[in-house]
Amino acid sequence: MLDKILKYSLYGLTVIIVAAFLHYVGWLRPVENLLIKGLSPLQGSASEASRFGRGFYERWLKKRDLLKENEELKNKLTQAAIDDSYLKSLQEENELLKRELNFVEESRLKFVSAKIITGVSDPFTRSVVINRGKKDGLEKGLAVVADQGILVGKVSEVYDDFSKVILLNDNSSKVAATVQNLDHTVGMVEGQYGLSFSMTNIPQNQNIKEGDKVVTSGLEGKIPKNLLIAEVESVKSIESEIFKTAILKPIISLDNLSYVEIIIP
Amino acid sequence: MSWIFKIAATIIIVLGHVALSGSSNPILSSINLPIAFLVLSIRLFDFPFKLAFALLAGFILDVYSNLPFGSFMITFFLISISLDVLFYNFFTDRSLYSILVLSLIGITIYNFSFILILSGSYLLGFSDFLVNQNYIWNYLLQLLVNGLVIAIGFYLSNRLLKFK
Repeated sequence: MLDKILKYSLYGLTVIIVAAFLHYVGWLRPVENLLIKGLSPLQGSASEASRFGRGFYERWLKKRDLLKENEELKNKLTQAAIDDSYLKSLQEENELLKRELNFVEESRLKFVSAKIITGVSDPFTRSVVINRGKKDGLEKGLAVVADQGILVGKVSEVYDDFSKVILLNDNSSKVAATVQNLDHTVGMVEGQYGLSFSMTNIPQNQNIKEGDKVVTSGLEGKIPKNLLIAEVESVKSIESEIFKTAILKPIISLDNLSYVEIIIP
Repeated sequence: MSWIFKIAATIIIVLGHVALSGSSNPILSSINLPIAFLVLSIRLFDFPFKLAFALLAGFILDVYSNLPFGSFMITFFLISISLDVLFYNFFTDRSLYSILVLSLIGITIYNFSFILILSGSYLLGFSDFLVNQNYIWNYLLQLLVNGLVIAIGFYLSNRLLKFK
């Protein structure tokens, strides 16, 4: 019995080594692309069913809070309308000044819509698979946004028809960012082991407070600037250290994404 | 034709596992269908099939995952060998308690294997990882939830075998 197990184990080990080798030299890519393509209808249905079940339970729990939230939102909407009219007047003034100084108009961004085929598939990373790939113009490192332009992740691996996206709360995720404060503080938004994300490398003398918005800085070539990332929840500062860290609160939940958009510069 | 059904069953189990892993519900995301299948099928199928299942399921999960390629294949490979060796040499009475102990061993090997792989990846500078209080609680939840799932599966498989 043990001899049989040993014999088949050696075969199995050989298969694993060969598969890993073929993957890392890139020869297995067409097979992987075909596999995801073939399984995507089933996988999409399974993920939808899982999201529906989760969504039903969450909606049932949140039902009683909706009326209160509705009232708060009405008040915020009124304030937003006031702010919007002020912003519009500023925009008109900006356009006028640009024309006066013969500024070149900024190029419009190109968006590619994508559906999330699979959610997070292992407990150690926060990555999803989307149904857009090289054929749609995607490259590694592109920004992935949801819900009117809120950054949720970056493209990490691209196949012909599919791509993997690492979400912001993945511990390998790093995005150059700026805080919308008086100092225009620059730092790095890093994922925190799948739980949340924080902004690091903030000099101690920078003034950051709770509620400040964090946006992309544009220092990474493929990610446009001023994409909203998160809001500052709290600031961790130790006097003996050069830098402090801001704990960030996501604007939208990264667990409930169904559709995203990829920005192609 | 039976190998077609076996491949289809493998794919369905893996897709179900991915769908459950993506759930934000901690109980559902703790269920590990491939390990549950490996434990429950230990007395139903021969070792070559279980090994083929482990490699195919591991390959599909490696394609979907962002972890170093081969992590799932190696992990399920180790689990299938360990369970078979233990089942045929130590837990030979084939009772529910043996199956439950094997499920605990399977889940432990699953977690330990990933910690080793990610440690190696961390040492080589490819990634970070963290084992903290949350991880330990998640591990305990996996033991409990998968133990329950396997116990239910064991009961159902016994009933099916009786009818046969």
